[in-house]
Amino acid sequence: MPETNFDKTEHEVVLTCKDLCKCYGGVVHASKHVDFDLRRGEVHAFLGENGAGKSTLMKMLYGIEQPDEGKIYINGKEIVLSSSAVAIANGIGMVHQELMLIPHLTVVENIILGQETKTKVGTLNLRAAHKEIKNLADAYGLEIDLNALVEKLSIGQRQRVEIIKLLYRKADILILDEPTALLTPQESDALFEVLRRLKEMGKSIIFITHKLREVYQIADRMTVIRSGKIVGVTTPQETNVAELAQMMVGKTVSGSRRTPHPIGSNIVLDVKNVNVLGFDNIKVVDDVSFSVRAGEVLGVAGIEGNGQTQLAQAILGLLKTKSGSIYLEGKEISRQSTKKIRKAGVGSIPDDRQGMGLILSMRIFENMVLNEYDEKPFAKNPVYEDWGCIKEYAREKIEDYSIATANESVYVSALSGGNQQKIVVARELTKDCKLLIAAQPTRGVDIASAYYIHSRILQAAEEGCAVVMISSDLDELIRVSDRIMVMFRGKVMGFVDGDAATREGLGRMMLGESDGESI
Amino acid sequence: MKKSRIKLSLFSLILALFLFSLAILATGRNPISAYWAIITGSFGTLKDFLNVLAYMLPLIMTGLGASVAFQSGVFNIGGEGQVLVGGLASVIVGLLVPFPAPWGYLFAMMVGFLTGALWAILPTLLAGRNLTSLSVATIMMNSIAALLTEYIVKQFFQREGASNTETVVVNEGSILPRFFPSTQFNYGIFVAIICVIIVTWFLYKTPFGFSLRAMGNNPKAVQQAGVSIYKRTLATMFISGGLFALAGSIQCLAIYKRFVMGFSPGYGWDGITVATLAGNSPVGVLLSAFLFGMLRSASINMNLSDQVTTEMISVLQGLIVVLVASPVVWTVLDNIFYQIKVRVLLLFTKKKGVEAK
Amino acid sequence: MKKVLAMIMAIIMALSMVACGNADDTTTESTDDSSNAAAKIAVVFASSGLGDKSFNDALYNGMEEAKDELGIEWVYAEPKDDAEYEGLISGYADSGDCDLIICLGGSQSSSLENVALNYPDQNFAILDAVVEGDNIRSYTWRDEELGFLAGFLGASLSETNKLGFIGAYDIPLCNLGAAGMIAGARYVNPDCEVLVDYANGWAEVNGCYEISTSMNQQGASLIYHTASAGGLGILNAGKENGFLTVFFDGNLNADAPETNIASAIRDFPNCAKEAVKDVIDGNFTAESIVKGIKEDSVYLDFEGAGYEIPAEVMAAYEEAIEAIKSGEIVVPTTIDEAKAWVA
Repeated sequence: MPETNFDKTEHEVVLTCKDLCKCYGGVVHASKHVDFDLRRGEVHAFLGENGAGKSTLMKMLYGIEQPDEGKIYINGKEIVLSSSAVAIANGIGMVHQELMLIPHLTVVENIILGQETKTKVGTLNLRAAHKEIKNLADAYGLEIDLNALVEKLSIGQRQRVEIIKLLYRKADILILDEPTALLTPQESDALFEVLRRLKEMGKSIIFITHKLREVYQIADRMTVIRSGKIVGVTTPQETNVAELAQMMVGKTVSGSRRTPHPIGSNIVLDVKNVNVLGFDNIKVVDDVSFSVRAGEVLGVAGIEGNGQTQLAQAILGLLKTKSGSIYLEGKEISRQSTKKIRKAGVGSIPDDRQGMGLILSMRIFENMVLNEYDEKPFAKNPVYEDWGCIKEYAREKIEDYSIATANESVYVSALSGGNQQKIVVARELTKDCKLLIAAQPTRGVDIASAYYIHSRILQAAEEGCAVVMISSDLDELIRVSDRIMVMFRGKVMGFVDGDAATREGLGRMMLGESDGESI
Repeated sequence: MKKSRIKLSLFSLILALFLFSLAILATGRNPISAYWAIITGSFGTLKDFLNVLAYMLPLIMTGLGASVAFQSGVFNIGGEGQVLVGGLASVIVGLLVPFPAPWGYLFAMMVGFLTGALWAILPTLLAGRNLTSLSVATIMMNSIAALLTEYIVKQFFQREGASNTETVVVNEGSILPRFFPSTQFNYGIFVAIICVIIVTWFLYKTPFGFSLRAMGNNPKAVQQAGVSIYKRTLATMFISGGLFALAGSIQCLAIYKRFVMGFSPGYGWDGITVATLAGNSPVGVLLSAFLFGMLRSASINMNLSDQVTTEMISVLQGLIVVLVASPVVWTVLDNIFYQIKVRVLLLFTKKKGVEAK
Repeated sequence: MKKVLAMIMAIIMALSMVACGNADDTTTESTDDSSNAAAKIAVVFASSGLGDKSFNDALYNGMEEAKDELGIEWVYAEPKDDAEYEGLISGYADSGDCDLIICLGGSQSSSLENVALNYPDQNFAILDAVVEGDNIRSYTWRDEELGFLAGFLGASLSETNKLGFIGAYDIPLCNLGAAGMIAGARYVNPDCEVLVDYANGWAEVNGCYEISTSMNQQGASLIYHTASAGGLGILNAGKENGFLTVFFDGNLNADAPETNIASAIRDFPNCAKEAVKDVIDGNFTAESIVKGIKEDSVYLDFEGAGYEIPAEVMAAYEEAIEAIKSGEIVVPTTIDEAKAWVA
């Protein structure tokens, strides 16, 4: 039950970590002597790049993993969090990135799962539970249809269910692991609204993210983690974005911004009324038309699963179009093989880097020539692949893209996400690349590498390459694109000029409200 | 071949030998004498050694066939059928085409290769890139091959008066010569070695081979890069089927000089084991085929001397297969190895510390 | 960890010591029967292996008898598969101390052919196949005579004037039995018809079951076969559907005493014994020996059969056997000959 009249003393500490250490395999320190405290009624953001050690820390707090050293105190009492059940019993709850709800059950059923209220005869007392949850949700201002099936809810609503579930289990400390990763800006704002209310009611929230903008919107304090260590604790008032980014990465980074540059007059890619059918003959790409000029970066915005991936695959010849035509420099390519399309100068950064972009179980130099292995000079003739030449080429690219690796023979699986993605970009941005299809080019990539990748894409555009950049990161789209095309349910909702685009405007269009200026 | 792969192959081999010792102990025998029997059975006399090489030959070919398929991520489980059709095709050529010595058997083997290759392509055309369908289809092709070869021999080439299914002896020029008539070791070794070299070169030094290996590691990435994986699956089955078939050709032309029903005691299946133990490396295939050749030789020699342990050789083979093919065992082994390493290191550092004092 | 390791080591050592003791026992046992035996004989069984209730077991028993009767020492190998034949035969030949190497079954013929050339001084014998060579004695049997006897009995007992024959394949070897059966049936009753069909496999138990059932529905009252292991299907079909059968190769009368009136036997063990005796006496000759009723090497075995054959039929049956022995009846060897055959 919400405590409506809690004492709003500023510095009441509810959770303290002392000297937490965690090693994996005896070597890798995922956490190094972490000290931190959480106050009542605050939103405490944890910032860090992928692999910085945020998840490990949260797993220790939620009892999934146990620290090798160090102690955890809750309300001043030392507690050994031996399992997540213990954590829940002590008022710690966690909303995972992948929501753990059962789609075929209703909201109420999902919430009470594992904590069922029983009637006197031992049957499930849904009515009582329903009433209790209703009171709870009203108290915190969490609007939700309790009888709806979870599968019918949007991601944002499902998240809300998870939060109610935690409140129902009387959690005072809520850990949210990258809660905004899959939300539209509007949904994110709604979530923040909920978080503010929870805060006011005296709940403490740990908010994990790597999006700097959000931190400023919601956090009271923030802790920055880098390679298992706490680099600093600060407040939004004390720092600015650049400083925070620097703390996260450990060195100065600056985001590339699209600089005005001349866009060529010749149309490189011309897509006309393209339709693509998915399973059950549903149109996943619905009558899409657009064109991209040489040197232009066309951003494609949209919530994932609205046909962007299929559009990219159709351009690359990986998916057959039902109707419509695709012209590359005036030549129809929609019926051609992927090989021919790629040889005509189309580069592709697939959205699933590890699944489609790279061969993790092979070496860097082998991955570096995946698109051109059978061309000169790599293949001297059909029976001789010149590995010496390829290694030389790989070394040049590693140098050029400053990929952090011991040498070119390292297995790609051993590299970090950012360095892996740099390999894909380095491979695809060849000299004769006329069109680059970049899908989620910086997903799961650390900030420094993301900025670097942006700069390379922009550089390619300046050199005359046409770029189609599909992304669910609106900041990235606004910063890099000349024009942004918004897709919703396979349809083009409209085009927005890069300079005129706002997160809010794009967000509305992504939800199906067509108010962009069509070009 | 990755170092870790070699390590794990060796590990499961050692573990298999250890478990085999326990099994022998359980039957109340001395494992050391069993190992000694394996070694003397393989290296005791020159003839024994040459026989090991002879037993190794078909396994090299089938091992290579399986390696090419597995490196490309294609499940060719139809090796046994390809061995049979390859053997029969070579024998039919040997019966019908009266070429003189080198050309006779060379031509017969070539036809054997092509027949096996086309035989392997057949299910691929039907199943396409669907790997589950492909493995089921290739398995079914084994039964078809067994029945079809039997039928063809019965119908057209049956040796009169023979009480089993076999053809008459092939033309003189099509017999693949043995080095010494008293051992089964034959010119097939040249074919095997040339094939090992060609397959190694093909997989590691040609652009096409690279694209096959890449496909085996991640077909989606290769597809993204514009490579038609359907065509490459066909090509893989062609090469793999041909190599399997050569095992049949060599056995028929050199050992039996005719097609005999039941000449293959499962070379096609053994090839899969050989390739797996070798980590799908062509050079590794040489080594693991040699090991299996040794076991076969040991089994025969034990059969001649000691009546019981010959079955135990099957147990050892089975243990190797199970251990090599079980990924769980591998991870457990790796973990155990790691633990031991850490403890030993700790032990040493502690000792050093004491000494220093 | 150290303790555990030490424990494991201790257990292994203890076990191996026990095992060594055992091993020593067995070695001493096996050495003492290599004393002055009359001859040392090696047998390479067929890959179908011992325990087959058929020719492998029959030969094993025959060799055990020979050991007692002739005072020989004998060793044997059980190949796991056909590819082991050559290694095993040449292994025995290599050892140089075997006076005779006996190969069982036609599937060894090509392997024996390869080996025998390399060991001109080694004596070989092969049962159920003809292999040419200066040091090989081959034994085969006149299967048509067994077919004749089966056809004779079938026709004598039949009310439908129809019999059935199932061969493994339509090949001359399998058709010997068919030819004999047709002749035997015609000998009793020129109007008696023999249905002939093939299983197309050496071990088509189910196929033979189906074929024989359908033959019975067409009126065949007795079914004989040369379908190898497929005969088991015929035996079972006869037992279940109540038609008569004659089983081929091995006495399985006891398995269907009511319907299997006799089993056709080819005398492997005695041929093996004959070869062994010739080796001991120094009379071993390389030749292809064909045996039949005259040599008492093929016969119908009624032992264990519960079906009562009328005495007058048995009397006529004995007469027919005498006629074959005296050469009065010459049984044809092909189906075409048999159809035109008159006694």
